[in-house]
Amino acid sequence: MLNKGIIGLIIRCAFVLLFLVALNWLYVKTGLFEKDTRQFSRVKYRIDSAFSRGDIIYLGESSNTSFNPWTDTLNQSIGDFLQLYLPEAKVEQVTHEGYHPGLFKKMLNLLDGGQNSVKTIVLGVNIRTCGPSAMYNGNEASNQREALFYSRRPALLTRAFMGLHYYDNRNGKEMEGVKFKYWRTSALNKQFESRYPTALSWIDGIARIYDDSLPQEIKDMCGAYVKEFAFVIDDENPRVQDLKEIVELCNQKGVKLIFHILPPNREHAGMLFGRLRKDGTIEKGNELLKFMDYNHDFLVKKFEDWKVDFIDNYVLQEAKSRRFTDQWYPTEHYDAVIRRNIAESIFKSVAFKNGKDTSFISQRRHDVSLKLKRNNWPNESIIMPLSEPLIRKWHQNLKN
Amino acid sequence: MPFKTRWIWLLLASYFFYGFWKIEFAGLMLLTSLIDWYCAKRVSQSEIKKVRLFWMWLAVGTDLAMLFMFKYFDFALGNTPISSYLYSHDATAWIIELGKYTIPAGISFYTFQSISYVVDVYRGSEKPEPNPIKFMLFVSFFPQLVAGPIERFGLLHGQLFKDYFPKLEDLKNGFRLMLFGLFLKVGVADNLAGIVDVFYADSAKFGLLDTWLAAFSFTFQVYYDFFGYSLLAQGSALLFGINLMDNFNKPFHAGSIPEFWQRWHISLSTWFRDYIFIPVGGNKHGKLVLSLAVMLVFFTSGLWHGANSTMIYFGLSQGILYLIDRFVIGRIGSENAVGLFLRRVKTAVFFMITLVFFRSNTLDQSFDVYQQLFGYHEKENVLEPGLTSLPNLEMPMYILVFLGIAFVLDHVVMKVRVDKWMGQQSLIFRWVIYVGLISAVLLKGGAVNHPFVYFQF
Repeated sequence: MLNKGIIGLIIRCAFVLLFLVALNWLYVKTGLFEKDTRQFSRVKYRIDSAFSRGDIIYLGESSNTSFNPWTDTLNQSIGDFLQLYLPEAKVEQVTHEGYHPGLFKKMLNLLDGGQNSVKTIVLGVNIRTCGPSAMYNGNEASNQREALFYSRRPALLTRAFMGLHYYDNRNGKEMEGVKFKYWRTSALNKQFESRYPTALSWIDGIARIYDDSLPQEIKDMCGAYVKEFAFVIDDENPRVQDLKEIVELCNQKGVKLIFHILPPNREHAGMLFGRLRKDGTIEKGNELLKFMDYNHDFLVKKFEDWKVDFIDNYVLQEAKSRRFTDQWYPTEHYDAVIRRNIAESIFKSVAFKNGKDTSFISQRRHDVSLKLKRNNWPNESIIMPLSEPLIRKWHQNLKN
Repeated sequence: MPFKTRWIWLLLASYFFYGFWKIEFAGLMLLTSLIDWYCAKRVSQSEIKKVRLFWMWLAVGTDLAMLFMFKYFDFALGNTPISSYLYSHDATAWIIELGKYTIPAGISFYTFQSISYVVDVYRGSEKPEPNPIKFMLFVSFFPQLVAGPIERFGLLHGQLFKDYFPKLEDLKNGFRLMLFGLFLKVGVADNLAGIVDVFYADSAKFGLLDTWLAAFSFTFQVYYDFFGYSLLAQGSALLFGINLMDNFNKPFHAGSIPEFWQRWHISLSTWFRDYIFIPVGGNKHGKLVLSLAVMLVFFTSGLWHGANSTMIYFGLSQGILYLIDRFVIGRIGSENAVGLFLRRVKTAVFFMITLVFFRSNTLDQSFDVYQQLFGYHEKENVLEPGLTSLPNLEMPMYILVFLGIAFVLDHVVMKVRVDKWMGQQSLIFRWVIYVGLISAVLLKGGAVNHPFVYFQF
C-alpha cells in the first residue's frame, strides 16, 4: 500500500519535472522568452550585442549620455566619443540610468571567458553611487527586475522569478525609510572632525543657519548635496564590495578592466559651503569637499590595492560647474566638452596600456602628419585622383 | 514531528517568519501577546465586574494604542512640531521612521485577533489559555499572520494543539488551495495591477472608457489578490492539518451591499459584527440606532484599512450604500432570475465605484476620477484621443482569459471550495487544470512588483 503510494508520488514528481523541462523548451522555442526579454529587460539586448561584437565595452549610468540634447553642442555619448578616438577597435556601450556596480557585476557574469570578443571593460565609477541616495534609490526594484535576465539560468526560471518577484523588490517608500535611517544614524565623524554628527543633523543645520535672504533653491541645493555626498565609504560599503567582485570576475574571465572615476561637481560643492568675499567672489569651503575627497581617495587606494587599472578624472580641469547639465542638483550629467574629455582620457589609457604611442592624439588635431599603423596603410591599387601627393607625404613620414 | 512538540516548532517558525523581515516587529507582536494573555488571565481570575472590565479595557486600550502608534501616528501628526521633535531625538526617531515608511505587516490582523480573545474571555465564551507561550502561537500562527483570516480563539486554538497528524488528503487539498491561490494572485491580480497602476499614476490624462476599465480592473485586482492570499493561507495551514475559516464566499453573487459584506472578507465582517455592531445596539433598537451602528462599523472599517482620508471615505461610502440598499433599493425588484442578475450587477457596480476611494493616491484624485467616471472630466490635453477612441489602457487578451477563467470557476463552476472541487474531478482533467495553472503562474505572472494589497493593513 505504502509502496504504491510512493510509486504514485514518484510518477507525479517525474511528470511535473518533465512538464517543466518541456515548458521551458517551448517558452524559448516559441520566442516568448525573447519577447519577454525585449519587454522587461531592454538592456539585455544591448549586453548581448555588445558582448558579441565589442572589443571595448563602456559600462556606465546616465552620465554617459547627453542629457540635454536640445542645448548640447554634440549629442555623442562618452562611448561614442571613445569610438571616434579608437576607430580600429569596436567600442560598445551599455548604459542605463541608475545603474551601479552591483548590476554591472551581474552583467559581467554573462561574459564567457574567451568565447566572446570583449577584451576590455571600461566601467564608470560614480562616487555618489556608494552613498545612501543612490544605494537606496526608489527605482532599484525595477533595475533589479531587469537584472533577472542577466543570467544563464533556465529561461522559465527567470520568468517565474519575475512573476513571483524574487529579487530585491523593496518599493520606493521602503527604500526611503532605509535612506532616512542611514542619514539619521550613519556617523560623519568616522575619519575626521565634522561639525555635524550625521547628514540629517547637517540638513537641519542648513535650515537653521541660513536666513530667509538665501533663496529656497539654494537651501534645497545645499540639502541635496549633503544627502548625496555627506557619507564616509568603508570596506563594508556594498558598492565597494561589488567593485572588488568585479575585479575578481574580470581576472577570472581574462578580460582587462579599467575603472574610470567620474568627476563630480566639486565647484558647486565648494561654493555652496563656502563664504562670500568682500569683492563679491566666493571663497570655496571644504566642509563637504573633504567628504568627497576622502571617498575619492579611499576608492583610489582600493583600486591600487586591487592592482586594477583606473583613470582618475575626479578633478578634471574641464569639469567646470557650468558644464554640468543639472545646475540645481548634484548629478554627473555633463555637456559634450566634459564627455569628450573623459573619452579622450579613456582613450589615452587604453592606447597607452596597449603599448601604443598616444602623442598623435593632439597631432591629429593640428597636424596632418599622422603616424600610421600598418593596417592603415593606403591601398595603392586604388587609383584616386589628387590623392597621390598626400600618399607620398604619408610614406615619407613613415620612413622618417 | 511528534504532536507534543509540533506547536513549539510552529511557534519558532512563525516568529522566524515574522522577525526575518524586521526583528523589532516580532518584539512588538510578542509584547501584544503577553499583555493580552496576562490581562485575559486577570479577567478570568476575578468575579467583580469592574475589575474584569478594567483588565479587558487595559488589554484593548494597549492594543489599540500600539496600533495607533505604528499605523495612525504619522497620519495623525503629519508634519507637526511634535513629529519633528520626536524625529530629531534618537530615542524616539525610530517610531516616526517606522510609522512613516513601514507599518508592521499584519498588525491590524493580529491585533484584532488578540482583542477578540480578551473580549471572549471577558464575556465568558472562551476559557483563558494558561500557557502564555501557547497563546503566542495563536496570535502568531504564520499562514494567517500577515493578512488573516482573523481567526477566533475557539476555532484555531483547539486545532493548534490537537493530536492530529495531517492526512494525505489534507496535503493534496493544501497544495490545491495554494496552487489556485497563487494563480489568482500572480496570474490575475498582479496582471490587473499593471493596468491599474498605469491609470492611477496619472489618472487625469485618461478618458471615460479608460476610467471604467481601471475601476473594473481594480475591483478584480483587489478581490483576487486578497482571495488568492486567503487560499494560500488556508492551503499552507492545511499542510499542518489546520483548517482556517473561509474569508470569501462568491461576493459577486450578492444581491445587495449588506449581503456583499457577508460574503467579502468574512473574518473581518464578522469581527465587526461581534465586537462593534452588536455591542453598540445592532438591529434590535430601531432604524436610527441601526443606521448609526452601521456607520460606526464602516467608519472603523475604513480606518482599519488604512491611515488616510481616502480609506475613511471608502468606509463611509460603503456605509451609506449599505443603508440605501437595506432601506430603499433592497425592497425593489422581482425575485426572478433577471431581477436577481440585475441586483447582483448593481451591487458589484456600487462596490466598484466606492473602490475608487480605496485605490486613489489622494482624496483630490478620487474626486477627479469620479468626475471622469461620470463624464464630467475636461481632458488636460485636447490632442489626446477622444472618448470615442479605443481605451489608452491596454488589456492584453491573456489577462481577460485568466480573469474569465478565475471568475467562471469561482462563481459558476465550483459549488464547493476549490480543493474539494478539484478532488472530485477525474485524474486527467485534474492534471490538465494543474498544468494550466502552473503554466499561467510561471509564464504570465504579473511583472510589476505588487505585494499583497492587504499586507499594508
